Amino acid sequence: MRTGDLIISIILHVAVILTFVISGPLTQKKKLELGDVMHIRLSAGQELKPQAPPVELKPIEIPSPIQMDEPIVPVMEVASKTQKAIVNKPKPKPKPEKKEQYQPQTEKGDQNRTGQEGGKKDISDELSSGSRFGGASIDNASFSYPYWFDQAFSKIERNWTNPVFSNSKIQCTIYFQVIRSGRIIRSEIKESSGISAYDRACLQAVERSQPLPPLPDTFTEEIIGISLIFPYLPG
Amino acid sequence: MKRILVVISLLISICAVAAAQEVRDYIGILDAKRTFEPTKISVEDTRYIGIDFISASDSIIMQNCAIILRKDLDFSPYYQIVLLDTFFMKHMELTEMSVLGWKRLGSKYLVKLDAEFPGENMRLRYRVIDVDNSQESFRGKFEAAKADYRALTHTVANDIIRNLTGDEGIFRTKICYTRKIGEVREVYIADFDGNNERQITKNGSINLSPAFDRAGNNIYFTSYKDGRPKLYKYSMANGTTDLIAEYEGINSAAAISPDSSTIACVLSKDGNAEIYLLELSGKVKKRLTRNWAIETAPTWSPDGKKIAFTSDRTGVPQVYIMDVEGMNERRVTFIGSYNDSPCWSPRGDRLTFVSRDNGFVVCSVDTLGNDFKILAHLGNNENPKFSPDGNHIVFTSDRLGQKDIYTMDLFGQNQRRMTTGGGYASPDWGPIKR
Repeated sequence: MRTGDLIISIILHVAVILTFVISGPLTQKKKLELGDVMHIRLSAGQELKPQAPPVELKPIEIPSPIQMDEPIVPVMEVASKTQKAIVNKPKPKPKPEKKEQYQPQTEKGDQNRTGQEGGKKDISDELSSGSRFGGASIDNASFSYPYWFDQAFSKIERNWTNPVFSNSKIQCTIYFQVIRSGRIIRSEIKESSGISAYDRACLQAVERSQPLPPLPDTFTEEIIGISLIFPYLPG
Repeated sequence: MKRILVVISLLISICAVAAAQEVRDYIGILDAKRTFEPTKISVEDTRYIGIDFISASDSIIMQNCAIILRKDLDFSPYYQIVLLDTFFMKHMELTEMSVLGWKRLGSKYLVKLDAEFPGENMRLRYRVIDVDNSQESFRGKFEAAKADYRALTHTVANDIIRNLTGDEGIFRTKICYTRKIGEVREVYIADFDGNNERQITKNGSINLSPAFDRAGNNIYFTSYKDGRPKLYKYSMANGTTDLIAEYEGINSAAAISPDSSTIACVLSKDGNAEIYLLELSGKVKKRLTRNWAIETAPTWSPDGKKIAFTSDRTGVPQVYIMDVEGMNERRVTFIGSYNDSPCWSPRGDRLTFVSRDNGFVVCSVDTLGNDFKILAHLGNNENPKFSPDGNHIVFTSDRLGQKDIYTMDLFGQNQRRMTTGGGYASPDWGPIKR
């Protein structure tokens, strides 16, 4: 065996040992730690078996009659009617404590972006009590459906994740338009927070919420426009 | 000397590459947690609004409709059913729950169901009341044969979810899977809640990996009925089974593209298991992977531009993503020494897969490989597949001893057993049919 070959052999051995020594700590894996005991929600009640003994017949209640002129549709088709109750009209909610409310800019043509009559309306009191949003306004003053605001804003809130940390209070206003099917046809940053990552996250929260709930059938206009404030409070 | 330097530099390079593969680390692992509170919703028992006396069987159907609707709405991760609290009623000296009573129990919405039975049909009308405002929000009315009351109620649930969230409900979707009885494993199909189970294959052989196409009209599966694994298609419309691919070796793990034009599947005709694209007729369009490792379990991104798959090219199975031309491969799983069975969310933002720790756990990551979350870890959990709305995952688990099918929401909560009896494997969630 030549000396050169011996040296090569030694170097190769040393290199292999070094490989294991160097890469060993790097490849060491942390043991997975599973989280807490998983909470399993129980299902809602036991279904009755068809063979079950017949239940005791109760006196038949005669509810308010159905409007028989409403067409009955097959099971595969959807037939929803949105109807505002005429009775039991709730008292107007007391205005929430004064927040820093969004003041829309009075730019030209901004007053009526969706082409609706009636102009803008502040709908900040439609935000639920635990809402993270700082305020909202709608272009269509006649759109007054609390459940729609509640569900649409909840969906946007679920899709809103904040990627930034700041020591000061910032806020971004997103404007978006919704058509009858609930589809968002336009969304834009109306008032920037000054931090592009924050603005982008707010815009994405709206875009990821596509589609929003369909507009109620009793609302006759085709499109609504909403401005929504996404505030960031330090701490 | 020059030769020595070349050898040393080569070894150092190999070492550096090996180290770089594993250098990525995570600080702690979090279970998935919901960051929001589900909206509370109540469903009152169904009221009869017909004129004639009601039969006992119709009365049971009416009660079942309310129970099914409660289960459906409670299945959604965004809603939670509030049940009638008899103690509360007694305390409040109530004989019947009012809207105010439901409000006191924390409900945000109340669903009122009315039923009547014209002929052999059932007509179900619902109204959703905004409890805070005592105001009717929306309503709907549906009719079907009395025997189809279950489908009728699922349709009502779909309509309520669509009006509340804008998303299509999944309560009339199907799940296909295999079940082993004795030495035979056959393909079955059932409703998303496990009801209405129906056997699809009856060939007395081993049938594996059933997968719906995106329209839900066909189920692709691998069968040994002719002695070796070949790919077949079962037509839901006429109940026929057609041979799709019988290349030498394995023909398995079919996944249909979102536009239903292409099948991604695993063939071993050229040596080891690799991923190929096939035309619907079974003709090979393109070979996507080409190396000595085993590649399997392809799953399409919702835009049809990328495919995630499993490869053991590093010595252990890990999940990778490549584009549909077979280029730009990148690894997305870095935690755990064994990650397999990926499924791409219909929303496009996450992948769910199986990871091996002490047992097999269902996990998810985003498409960049970040935000690792453990979703199901009781017992051994396998074969996770997303629901068509991306809100749920179906998987198998042996947590209660036998291997059954379970469902959970995408946060790993509300885990429900769908089947009983054991022997279940490879579930796949069918599409929402419009």
